[in-house]
Amino acid sequence: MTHIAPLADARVRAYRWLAGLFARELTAREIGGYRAVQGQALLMDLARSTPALAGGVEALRAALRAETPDTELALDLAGDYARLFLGVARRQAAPPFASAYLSERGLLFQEATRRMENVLRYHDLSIPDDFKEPADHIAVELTVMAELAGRGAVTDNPAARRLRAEQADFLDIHLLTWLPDFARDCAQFDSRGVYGALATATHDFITDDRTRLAA
Amino acid sequence: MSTSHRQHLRAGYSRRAFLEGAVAAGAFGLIAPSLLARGAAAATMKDGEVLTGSHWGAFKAKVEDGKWVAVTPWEGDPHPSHQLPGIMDSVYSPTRIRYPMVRKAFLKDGPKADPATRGTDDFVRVTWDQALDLVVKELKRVEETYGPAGTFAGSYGWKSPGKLHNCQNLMRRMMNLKGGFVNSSGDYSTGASQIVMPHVMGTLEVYEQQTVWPVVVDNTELLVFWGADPMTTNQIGWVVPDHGAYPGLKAFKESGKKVICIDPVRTDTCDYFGAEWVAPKPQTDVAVMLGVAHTLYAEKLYDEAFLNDYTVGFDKFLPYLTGQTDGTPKTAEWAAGISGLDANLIKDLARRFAKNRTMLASGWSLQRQHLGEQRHWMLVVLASMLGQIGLPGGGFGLSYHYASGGSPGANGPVLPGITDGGKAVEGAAWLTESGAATIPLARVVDMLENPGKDFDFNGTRAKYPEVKMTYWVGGNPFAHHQDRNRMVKAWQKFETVVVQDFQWTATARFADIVLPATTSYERNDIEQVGDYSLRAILAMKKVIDPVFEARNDFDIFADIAKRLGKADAFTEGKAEMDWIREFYDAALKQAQAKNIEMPDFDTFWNEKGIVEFDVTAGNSFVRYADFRADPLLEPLGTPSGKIEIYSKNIEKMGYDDCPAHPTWMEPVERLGGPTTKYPLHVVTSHPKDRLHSQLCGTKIRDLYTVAGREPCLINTQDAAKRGIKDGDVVRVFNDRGQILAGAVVTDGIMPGAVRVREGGWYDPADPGKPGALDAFGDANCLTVDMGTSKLAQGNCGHTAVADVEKFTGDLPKVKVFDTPTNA
Repeated sequence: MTHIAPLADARVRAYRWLAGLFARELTAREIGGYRAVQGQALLMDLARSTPALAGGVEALRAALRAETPDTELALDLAGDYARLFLGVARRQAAPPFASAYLSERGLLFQEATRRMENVLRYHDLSIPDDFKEPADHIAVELTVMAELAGRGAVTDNPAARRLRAEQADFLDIHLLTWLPDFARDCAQFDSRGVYGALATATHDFITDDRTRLAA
Repeated sequence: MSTSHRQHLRAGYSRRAFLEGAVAAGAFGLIAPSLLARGAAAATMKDGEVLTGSHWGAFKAKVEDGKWVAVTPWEGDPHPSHQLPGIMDSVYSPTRIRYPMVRKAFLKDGPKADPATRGTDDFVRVTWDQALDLVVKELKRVEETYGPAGTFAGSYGWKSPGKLHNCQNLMRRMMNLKGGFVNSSGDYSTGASQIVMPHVMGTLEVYEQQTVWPVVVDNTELLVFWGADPMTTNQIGWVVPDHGAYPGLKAFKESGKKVICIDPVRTDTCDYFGAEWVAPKPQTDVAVMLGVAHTLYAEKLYDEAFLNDYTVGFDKFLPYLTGQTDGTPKTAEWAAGISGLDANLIKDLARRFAKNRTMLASGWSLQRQHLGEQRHWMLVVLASMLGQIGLPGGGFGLSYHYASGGSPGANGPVLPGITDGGKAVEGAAWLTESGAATIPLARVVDMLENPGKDFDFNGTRAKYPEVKMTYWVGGNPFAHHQDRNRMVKAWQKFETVVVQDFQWTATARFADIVLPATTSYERNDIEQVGDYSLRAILAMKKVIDPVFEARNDFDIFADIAKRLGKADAFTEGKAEMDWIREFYDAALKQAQAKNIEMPDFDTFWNEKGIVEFDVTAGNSFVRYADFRADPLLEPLGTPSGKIEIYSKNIEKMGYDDCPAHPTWMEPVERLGGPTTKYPLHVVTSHPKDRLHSQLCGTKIRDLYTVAGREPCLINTQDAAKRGIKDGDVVRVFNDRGQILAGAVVTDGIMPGAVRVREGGWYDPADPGKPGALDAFGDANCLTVDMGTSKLAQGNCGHTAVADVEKFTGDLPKVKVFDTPTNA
């Protein structure tokens, strides 16, 4: 019902934060930022305002607590990222594309990609040239959810119900169809555990979010 | 998306509210700004059908919403390959190299990074600028530290067709601008024959037009395929194949004339023709041929006049044949003892060869074996004794199984392509053979292990250079090279390995810097159709935009050349379409001179995208007819101008493993050999459902895998002895390596031989560990890595003995493919 509106900012934050983490590797500078007071505060806030993210936040904080220099940790996490998401380890990985999970043979650029392209086109959105991923990349899908969720708090009226329904639809059609398998693969194939935990947290968060949207 | 979903969005949607929410979240510094931009993306590729081409033939690619969705063979293809749909699979495979990547340790420590972790270490994404800067830094460092011979750029492999995006020429074009490099000569297909045949016939022979199929169909009475499976291997071509052999094969079958297949396996060709199957022990073909030759001699079935008029050296060969020189007459009985064939069968073959107009069509397996030079040389001697060389439908042929040799030639022009240097650079001291040094390419591992060591090659002696860096493009040596475990170790000698490809091949995983190239279908190019027929010129039009950050080989090397200060020398100021137009116009000029009709470039490119040429004189071509008609006016390119049964040039070389006339010698190991340890020969035929290793990662694999692995054909008796049942996972092993495979128990392979087709993707259970069990079935884990002889130094990809057992341990998963884990 109306309890979704007060959560709106936290939801947007959660979706956007996750989208950013899956979109690209963390830079040494970002790692430095997370290690600073402000970054720690952000992580605490994310875990507090969105409890489903707590596990993912904690895995990241654990990695940040290690005495590895920023540049080295960035390199290690980039290695994990590449193995899981960039095709280096072939299928001992979690390809971050709906198509990889939904098409008959795990190919990319299949029906799921085209459906996401339609969604973007419908919303008059596009993927900029410097992000060379297909539209069914998890980061694109999470960003679309952030944007849908961020349309502002509309209180209890037919428009709000429609907004919730469309978000629920989006999750059902574009994310929950493959997210459980993706999260499982991340957890299985990630050696350091940061991305594995973040993927699990993404799945938990979205499962919760879907329940709230239905309420 | 569903209709209901679309309606929801339409009803409740306010664009401003949508984007403002996102901006608010961005205030948290560490939360990146929205990935998405306002404004719908413009479609760059039109929907519809695009005609293009590949190693498997010309085809139409159907495009919807900018995505490639279906493949239809070109209607002019008489026998489209069933592998075509695999191409689309490979383009959209999750194993595409998506971004420039650098091995983590290499990014941190540069060339001081531990080479032993290559193959297991993580990779990290870098920008194109970072990657190319790093490549150039390494090229310069190696050149400055170790000199021009420090870089191996003899990159080999089945790069994609196309006259412009010829990645190997482009790479060497860049290397020539950089300075020196070590090049390679030869190939893995015909290493032995292409060196010995010029001594014997004066041509490469293996890549020459054959007496054409219409002539064979009309004149040949007995067609012998000796270690050849043309129904299987003619699917592919180095350019875009025309598949012109298939109508010939079909017409011959319909004629009902006799076909014999001499092969350890009852091949698809054998089944297609319902042919007589003769299965000598592998690697004993020279003995069989000598037995046949001895019978011809003893029964006076040979053509003495032909030998006198068209050959030299039979007088020196004869004492060997009769045993006068070594005390061993090479009788049918002697040959039977070695080959396991019945002596009467050998004699019968001799009589039938002599009685009929006989075409001896041999494949290349015979010469991809230790002492491989002897096989085709002896075949030529046999054909000379039969005296039918140059007669319609008689003689011998070494390319009926490849790229449709014998497909009648058209009268069209020859399309030029990008070169690796030459006139590109003004005033540069181009070497006649590009490169600071050249090695026979199958000796690459030997070179890595033994820098400074002397090696013999075709009458020359040189020292292996000490190479420290390699740049591999359009090839996968971790598939095509022999003795994988030896190679894994030797590969560690490189300080820097750059691999440019479109997918994560085993070689890419053993690299330091990996660059993503486009496939043929993400760029424009131009190519001929028909390796031998030159039947058409085809526009290879771009089907889809490049995926991820893949770039064209031309652009990658142009950017490297730019960093070397040689941008103009590399590009000559021309972009993709300028080059393609130039190649076409050069062909057009030839056509005009020959009065052949050909549209101008714009009409060609924008309308049909293909121009076909007429077949006229090509329909009656008989190989060596001119030589036969007048051996003085049309001499061969040999020192004597005749067929050299005895080669004085080879005699001068004095090689113990390649005497001056064809000779039976024991190979290093063989089935039933005197010192051979293992009981089974491993037949490593070219695949039916792949091009070597290409397309192994695609849906085509479903057609052949057994228990998810490469099949291993094993004879019923051999299987029974080992308790192996059809469908079992078996371990095939010898001292060099071990692989898993799926057993196919059959009487379609001779006892004592098993077959694991080459090209299965290397999938070590423990990458980088010597002797690691290969989980999928890479036959080259088992093969011998040695030169065929000092003459040709070709590879011995068909020399391997091993044993097989039912695998009962913990079964390692096949990890190399993109099969979804939830499947």
